[in-house]
Amino acid sequence: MAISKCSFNTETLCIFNMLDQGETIDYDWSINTDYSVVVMEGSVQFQNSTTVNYVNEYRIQPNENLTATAISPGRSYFISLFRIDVESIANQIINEASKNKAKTFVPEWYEYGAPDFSENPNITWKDEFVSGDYTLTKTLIDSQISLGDWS
Amino acid sequence: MKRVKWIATKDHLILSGRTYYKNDELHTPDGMSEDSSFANVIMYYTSGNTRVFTSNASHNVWTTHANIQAPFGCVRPICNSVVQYTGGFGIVNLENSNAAYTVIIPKAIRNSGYWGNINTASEEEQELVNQKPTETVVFESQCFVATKRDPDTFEIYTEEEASNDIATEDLNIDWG
Repeated sequence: MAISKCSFNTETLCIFNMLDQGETIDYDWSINTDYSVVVMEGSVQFQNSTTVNYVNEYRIQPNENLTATAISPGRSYFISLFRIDVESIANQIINEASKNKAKTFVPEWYEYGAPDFSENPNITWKDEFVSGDYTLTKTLIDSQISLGDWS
Repeated sequence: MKRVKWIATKDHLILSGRTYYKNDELHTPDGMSEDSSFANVIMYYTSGNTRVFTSNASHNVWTTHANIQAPFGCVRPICNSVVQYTGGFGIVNLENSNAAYTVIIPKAIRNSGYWGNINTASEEEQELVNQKPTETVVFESQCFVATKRDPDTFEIYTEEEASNDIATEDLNIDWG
């Protein structure tokens, strides 16, 4: 049940990755600097060698495609963090339309800073995940940003 | 009981909180001050069933906002006026099982407003983050907070300890 979902604000692109035991998430792209990933639940093996348990950080090295496999029973979650307010980083991951949206987009938030869930007061992402391994492409990231598919 | 761990990553500060019991408070950035540091926060619920409350800054009354079953994520954006930063926001664990969340804030605001008040970095750790701004620093001090919240009103309450008013002689039960 692996999948990656992109959240963003004006400074950060955060990719939330969920996978069940034995499943793998790949990014078929890299950037020329290292970046942080943080395991939030479970245990994840990165690049087929380093196992990171929750709650700990790991660095994906420059020009390295991310490969992550969940090794603990149940679901594992990790996030990947990027400073998209830094032009040189953003240019390597997202297109111009996504950059502009991230810089300017303010969703229809609840007046006091939280989304309006009045029509659906019981919310979760748990049903959005699909079986099997998953490859996150830059096209998918741009698509998720354009749809605002993050809350 | 809530346990909180802080990690300074390459560019961000990560706050990861976990509770274990029903009615434990997970997170309450009490935004009653005009504190813009609440903005631009990304947050994920990674375990458990929780209830989110919000409060109106002018009335300070907690209102049920949503029940959230992990996983879920949300973003608190930059708003147009400082008033929009000032609403309260809180989460309570609805079950006697793990409920966990992670908050991501830019490293640059780690000492601003609310975040500066609650982050547990020692002076040495602060210095390390300043001197080596892209280095990972795990704050050694992990805070433990024991706040209980009514899941219907979000009011704080004190859990009464079971009173022991049984006299020693009453324990000498004659089982026949």
